[in-house]
Amino acid sequence: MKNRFSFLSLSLGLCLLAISCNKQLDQKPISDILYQDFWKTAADAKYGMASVYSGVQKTFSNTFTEWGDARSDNFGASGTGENQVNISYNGLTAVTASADWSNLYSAIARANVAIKYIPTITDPSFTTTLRNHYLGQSYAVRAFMYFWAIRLWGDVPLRLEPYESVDAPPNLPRTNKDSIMNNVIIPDLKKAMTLIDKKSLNVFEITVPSILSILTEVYLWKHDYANVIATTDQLIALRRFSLVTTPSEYKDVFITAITTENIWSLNWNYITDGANGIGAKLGSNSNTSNFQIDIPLDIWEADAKNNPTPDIRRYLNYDTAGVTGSTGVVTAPSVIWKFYPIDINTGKPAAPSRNQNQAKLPFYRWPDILLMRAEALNWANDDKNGAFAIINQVRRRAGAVPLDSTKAKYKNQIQVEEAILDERQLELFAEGKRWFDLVRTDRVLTTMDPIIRDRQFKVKASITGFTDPRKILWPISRVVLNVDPSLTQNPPYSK
Amino acid sequence: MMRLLLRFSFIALFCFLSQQVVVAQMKISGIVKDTGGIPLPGINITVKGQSTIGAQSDAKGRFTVNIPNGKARLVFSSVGYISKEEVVGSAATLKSTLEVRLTPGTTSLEEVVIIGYGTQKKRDVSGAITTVGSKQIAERQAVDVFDALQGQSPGIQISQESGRPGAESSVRIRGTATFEGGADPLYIVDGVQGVNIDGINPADIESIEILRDAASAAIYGSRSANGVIIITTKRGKDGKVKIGLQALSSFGKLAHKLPQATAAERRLLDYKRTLVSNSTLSSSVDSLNPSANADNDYQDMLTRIGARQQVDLSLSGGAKTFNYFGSIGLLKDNGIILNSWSNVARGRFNTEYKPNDKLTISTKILASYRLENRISDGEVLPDALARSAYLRVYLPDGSFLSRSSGAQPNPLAQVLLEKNNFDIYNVGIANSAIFSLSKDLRLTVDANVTAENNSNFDFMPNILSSANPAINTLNVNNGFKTYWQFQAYCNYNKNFGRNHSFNSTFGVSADQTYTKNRSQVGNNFVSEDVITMNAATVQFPSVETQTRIFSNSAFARLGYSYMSRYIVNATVRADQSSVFGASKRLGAFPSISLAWRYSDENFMDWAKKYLDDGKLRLSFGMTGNDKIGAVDQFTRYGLGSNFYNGVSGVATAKTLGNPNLGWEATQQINIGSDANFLKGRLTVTIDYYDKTTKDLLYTAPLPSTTGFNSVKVNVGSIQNRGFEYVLSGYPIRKKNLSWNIAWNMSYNYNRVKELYQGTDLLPGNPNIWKVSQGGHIGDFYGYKALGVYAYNESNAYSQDWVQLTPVFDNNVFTGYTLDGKPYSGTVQKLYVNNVPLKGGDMIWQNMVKDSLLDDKDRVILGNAMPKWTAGLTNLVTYKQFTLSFSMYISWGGSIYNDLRQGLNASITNNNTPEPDFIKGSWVRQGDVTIYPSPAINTGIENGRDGNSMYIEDASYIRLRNLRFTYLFPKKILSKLNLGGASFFVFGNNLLTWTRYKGYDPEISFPSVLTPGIDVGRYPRKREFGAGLNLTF
Repeated sequence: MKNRFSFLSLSLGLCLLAISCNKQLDQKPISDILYQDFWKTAADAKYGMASVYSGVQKTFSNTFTEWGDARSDNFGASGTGENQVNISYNGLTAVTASADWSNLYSAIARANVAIKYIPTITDPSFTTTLRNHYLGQSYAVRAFMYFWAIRLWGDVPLRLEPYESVDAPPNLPRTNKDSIMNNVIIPDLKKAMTLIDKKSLNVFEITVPSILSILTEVYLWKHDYANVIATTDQLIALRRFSLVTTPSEYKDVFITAITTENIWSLNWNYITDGANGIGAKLGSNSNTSNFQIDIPLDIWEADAKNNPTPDIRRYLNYDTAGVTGSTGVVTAPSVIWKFYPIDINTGKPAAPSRNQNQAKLPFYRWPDILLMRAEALNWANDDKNGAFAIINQVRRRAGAVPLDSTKAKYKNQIQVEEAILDERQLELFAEGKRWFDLVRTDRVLTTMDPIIRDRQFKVKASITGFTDPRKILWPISRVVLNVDPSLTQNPPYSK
Repeated sequence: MMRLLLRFSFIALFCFLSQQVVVAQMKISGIVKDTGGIPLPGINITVKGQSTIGAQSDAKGRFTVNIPNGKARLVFSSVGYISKEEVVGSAATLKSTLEVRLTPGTTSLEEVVIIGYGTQKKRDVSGAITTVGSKQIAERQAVDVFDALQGQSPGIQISQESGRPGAESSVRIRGTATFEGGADPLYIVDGVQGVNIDGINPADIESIEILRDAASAAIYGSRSANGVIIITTKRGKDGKVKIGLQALSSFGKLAHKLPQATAAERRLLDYKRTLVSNSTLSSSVDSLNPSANADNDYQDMLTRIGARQQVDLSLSGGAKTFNYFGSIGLLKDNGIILNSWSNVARGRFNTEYKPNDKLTISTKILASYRLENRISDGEVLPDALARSAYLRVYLPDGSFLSRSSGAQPNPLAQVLLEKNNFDIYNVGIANSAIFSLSKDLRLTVDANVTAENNSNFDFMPNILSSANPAINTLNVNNGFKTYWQFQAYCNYNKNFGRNHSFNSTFGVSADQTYTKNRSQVGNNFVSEDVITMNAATVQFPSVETQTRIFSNSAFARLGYSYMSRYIVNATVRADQSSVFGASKRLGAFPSISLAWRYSDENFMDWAKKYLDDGKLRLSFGMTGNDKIGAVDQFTRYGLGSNFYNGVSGVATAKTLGNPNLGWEATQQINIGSDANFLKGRLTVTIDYYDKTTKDLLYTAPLPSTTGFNSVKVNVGSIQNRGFEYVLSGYPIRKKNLSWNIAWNMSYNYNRVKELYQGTDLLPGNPNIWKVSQGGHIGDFYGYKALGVYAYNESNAYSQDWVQLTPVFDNNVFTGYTLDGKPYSGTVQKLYVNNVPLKGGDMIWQNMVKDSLLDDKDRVILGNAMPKWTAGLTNLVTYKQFTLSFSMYISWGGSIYNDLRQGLNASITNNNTPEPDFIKGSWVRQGDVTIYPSPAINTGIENGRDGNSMYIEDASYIRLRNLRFTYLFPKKILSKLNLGGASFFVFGNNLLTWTRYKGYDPEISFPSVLTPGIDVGRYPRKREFGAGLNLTF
C-alpha cells in the first residue's frame, strides 16, 4: 500500500516537473527573422529593397544571354552541350533550364512584399520621400519583370499581392498578356514616376531615367511610336545623357557603369552576390563559352577587311587576333570580353574566371534609347533623316563608316528599320536586345529560318529551320508544370 | 473441478510451508560443466517453484543446494547457456554429487531483454524485439555498430553511403514509412538519446535490441516511427581485474573492375563520331601527339591494396559496491582508393557505484575522435571512367597535368592533391542514479549531455582549378551540436502470489538539441604552404545558422502476466515539441500488446516432448515522427544571401511557414509467434505487420508564382506490410562439435495511399522517380527503350502505331511491309522536339499514341526496393576451432545505373562510353544495334535520363563474412598466465553473385524518395585479415 502511494506521488511530482518547462516549447528561429517581425524601421526598408534587386540579379544571372540574344543570329552554339544546341537549333523544350520562370517570379514576389509592407512602416525617421522612393522602385521593378515575362511566355500568371498563407489556393491561371501590359505594367510605371525621388542618380537602381527607359521600350513593343517619342523627349530634356567618345570611356560603360551614357545597369560583386552566370554563356578563362558570336562576327570582320580604320566595337567585343586565319576562314573567338576591363599586362580585356564574373549587365544606356527613338521617328513621322542622324551618331562614335541614307537600299520604312536594327545589333551586341528586336519587328522567321537550316545541315541533323511562329514564345518549364498541372503549355511545345 | 481444487490447496499449502522454517531439507551438491567439460562458475541454480535463487556455482563449478524432502526439479541457468532441468529426489540421493552439463546457446528464455525504460524477461516479451549479443558482434570484426547489425535481424536493412573508410550508414526498419521526416530509427544508448552512433566501438557493446513493432517502440513516442535500436554497453563484473586485448590487421582490394575503353577503343569512337556527323578527326588527339598517346587504366592507377589495423584494449572489474569497464579502441583504415583514409580513436569508461542496497550511481563517459580524408567520393570514379584513356596524366617533367590545361579533370591529381579532411569530435556523459525505495519500487533519474564538433576542411590547390590563371580554394564547414536530456522514471514491479505479476513504469523526460553550423570560403591563397583562412586573398561572407529544438514528454507502461502464460502490456506516451505549431504541439502515442504462451496450456501436454516453448503475440501501437526542420512552422525572412550593391538584402525564405504543422503518426499491427523446439535445438520466430503512416510530413511544392518553392505539410499516407521470420537452430550439438545456423528473411510491400491534393511527386535529379497514389516508393519513371532504328526509313508506323518494316532493293528503298505483307496505308513518323527520328536514334515506347515522343510517354520502369532480403549466419565449433560465416541476399530490386547512363549518353565528346557501347553503337544505315549512334547531342535526346536500358536487376547473394577462430587450450593458457586467447583469420565481402553491371549492387539509400541510383560511389572492398584476442 505504501509502495503504491509513493509510486503515485512520485508520478505526480514528475508530472509537475514536466509542466514546469513548457515555456521552453516556444522556440523562435535563431538565425532568421519571423515574417511578422520585419518591415518595422527605415533600415528594414533598405534591406528589403536590396533583396528586390537581388531577386533581379538572380533572375538574369543565367538567363540574360539566353532570353535576349542566344536565340537570335547574334550567337550560335559553341561546343555540344545539350542546352546550347537546343537553343541555337530552335529546339527549346520544357526542360531547357532558362524556360523556368521561378527566379523571375521570386523577384516579383519580393516586390509584392515591399509594396504591401513599406506603407506600414511607422518608424518616424522614415521620411515620406524615402518611403515613396522605395515604393516607386518596387513598382517599377515589378513592371519591368512582368514586361520580360509577357515577352518570353505570352500570357502568364499575374500576382500582385504577396502569398502568405498555406490555406490560400496557390495556383493561378494565365492572364492575357495585353491585359497585363495595359493594366499593370504601364499604370505601375506611371505610378512609379510619381513616387520616385527625382534627385536619385544611382545608376544601379531605379531612377526617373530608368523608368522612362522602360516605358520607351514598352511603348515601342506596343508600336505606340508617339509615346516613344514623348518619353525619349523627356529623357533628352533631362540633359544628363550623351554618348561617350573614347574607347576607354566606352569600356567604362560596362566596367564602372558610371558614364554619361549609363541609365540602368545591374551592380554585381562576385564576393557577396555570387558570380554572374554570363561567364559560362559568353566564355571565361576557365571554360569555353556556351555560345559563340555568329553574324556580327562576319559583319565586323568584313568591315575590318574593307576599312582602314575599322569599327572599334570589334576589338572591344572580342580578341581579333587569329579570328581570320591565313586561309581567310573566319573562326569564332572563344570569349566575348565586352563586359571586362583591360588587363594592364596584355593591354587587352581579359575575361575573369567563371566564378569571379561580375559583369554589370546593362539594362538601358543612351545609344539604346536613341536607336529606339530612331525606330519611332521612322514609323511615326517617316523621318528618315532623323533616323539616320541617330544611326550615324552612334556609328561615328564607334569609328565606323557612316551610312549613306540616300542609297537605294534605304528606300522604304522597312529598309530604314532594317538599318536601325543592324546598328542596334552591333552597338547592343550581347546586351539582351537582339531577340526582342527581331520579335518586335516580326523578323524572327525571315532572319532565323535560313540560319538554323544552315546550322542543322552542317551537323547532319534533321533540317527543320524556324517555320512555326508559335515557337517565338518560350515553352513553360517542366519544373513549373510539374508543380502546377493546371497550367497549359504553349503550343507546339510538349509537356 | 475437484482436481483443480486439490491442486490449488496443495499450492497454498506449499506456499505456507515455504514461509516456515523448512522442516525437512536435503542437501544436494554437484558440479556444473560446459559441453567441453570445463567447469562453469556463476550458474544460477533454482528449485523449480521457488522464486529465490537456491545457489550459485563457485569458481570451480561446484554448488550445494538445499531441497525440500522428496522429489524436486533443479533448474540450472545462466546468460549464454541453455537452461537445463534435473530431477533430483529420493532415488537420486544415491548420487549425491550431481554432474550437470550445460550447452552454450543464446536461445535461453531466461534471458533478459532491454526494453524502453526497463527490462523484461524474454519469456514475457509481447512485442517484436530482436537481440544481438556481444558474441554475435565479435564474430564480425565490425568497424562500427551498423557493420555489426548487418544481416543479424529480419526486417532491418542497412546500407552504407559508400565503401569509403568511415562512410556513414543508413538503417531502415520494416521499409520506409515516411517521405522526408527522417527514415532512420531512433537510437538509445544506455538509455540516452542523441548519441552519435559512429562514436561507439562495437567491441564495447553488451547487447543491441531492435524494437521492430509499434508496441515495443511506442514508449519512445514521437521519434519511434522508424523503429528503435537500443544499445547497451558493457559493465564491469564482480571479480578480478580483467584485461582484454584484441588486435587485427586486414588488407582489402577492389572487388572487381568495370570495363573501360582503352586508347584504341576510344580512337574507334572518335572515328565513328566522324562518320555520324560531318566532321574530321581532330589532330589534337592524334596518337603522335605526346599529350594523347597514353593508354591509361585509371582504375588501376587510382586503387591500391587498402589496409586496416584495429586495436581494442579493455579493462574491467569490480567488487560488491563498485564495478568499472574502460576501453580504448584505435582504428586505422586506409581505403582502396589512393589517399582515402580514416583514423578513429574511441574511448569509454563506465562505472557503477552501489554504496548500499538503496542506491546505485552510474556514470558512463564516451569520447571519440575521428580524422578522415574523404577525397571526392562520388566524383573521382565517374570522372576517371569518362576520361579518354589516351590523355596524359603527367607532364614530361613528371608533374601532374593541371586541370586548366585539359578540360577533363585529372583523376590522379584530384585524389592525391585535394585535401578533404573531416575532424569529428564527440563526447557524451550519461549519469544516472537509481533509488531502490523498496523491494518493488525503484526510481531512476538520468541526466545526460553529449556534444559533437564536426569540421570539414576542403582545399583545392591551383593544379586542380579549371580557371586560368588557376584559383585555389578552401571551403571550411563547421558543425557543432549539443544535446542534453533529463529523464526520471519509476518502475514498480510486484508479484501477487506466484501467478500474478505486475510491472509498471511512469516517467517524464525533457531534451534539447542545439546546432550551430558555420561555413566559409576563401580563395586565391597567397601561398599553398599556408592553407588557413588568413592566407586567402578573397574571403567570401561566412554563412551561419543556429537552431534549437526543445521537447518534453511523459510516458507510462503497465504490464501484467499470469504465470507468464497470459501477458498483456500497454504503454502510452505524450510528447510536445517546439518544432510544431502551438495548436498541434501535443501528441499522444498509445500501444497495447498481448501474448499467450499456449505451450503451457494443459491441452498442449502432448507436445511437451518437442515443443519447449510456444507463444503467440498480437500488438497494436501508434508511433510518431518529428524529424523536420526546427523552424518549418514559421514563415521567415532569411539573411545573408541576398546582397545587392553592398547591402545585405532581407528576403522571405523559400519555404512558406505552416502554423498547422503537426506529428506524422504511424499505426502498426503486429502478429507474431515464437516457438522453441527440441530443447532449444530449433527456434522459429514469425511476424506479420501492417503499418500505415498518416499525416505524412513532407515538402509540398508550391508554384514559384507564390514566391515560395515549398511548404511543409501533414498530408498523405503510406502503407508498409510485411512478413518476417527467423529460423535458428543446432543441427549438430555434440560434446566436441556444434553447428549453429540462423536464417532470417523479410518481405516488405510498400504502397502510397494518399498524396497532397493527389499531385504526383517527381522527386530527384535526374528526374527518374515518380511517387503517385497507388504507386510505391522507389518507382522508376522514364522511357522504355525498344531498340535503335536501323534505317532512316525505319521510323514508320501504321495508322495504329505498329512499326513498319522498310524494304530495300539494292539499297534503294522500295516500300514498307506490315506483318510480312506490303503496306500501302498512311505512314506515321515519331518526332522528338519536332525533329523526326532517324536511323541510329533510339526507339522509345510510344505510350500516348501520337507522333510526339515526350514526357507523356514515360512509364513506370521498375522499383528500387528489394522484394525480400535474407540473412544466413553459421557458427560451427569443433573442439578449439570455430568457423563462422554469414551470407546476405537481397532479391528483386532494381538499380538505375546512372554511371553507365552518364558515360553512354553522348552529351559531350569529353565522356568516353563503355567499350560495349563503342563497339556496339550504330554508324551506318542498316546497322542493327542495341546502342544508338554515338553522335554528340543531336537534340533528340538519345542519351536521355530515365532510359530503361540502365535499370538493372540488383538482386544479389553475398558471402559477406567468413571467420575461422582457434581458441588456445587451457593448458597453454595457464602456462602463459592468460585468461583466454584466440587467433582468427577472416574475410569480408568475399563473393557476390549478381547480374548487376556496376561495382556493387549494395548501394546507399540516403534519400527516402529517390532510392536506388548508382552514381559510381566508392566501391566496397574485398577484405582479408587476421587478428588475436587475449584476456589477462
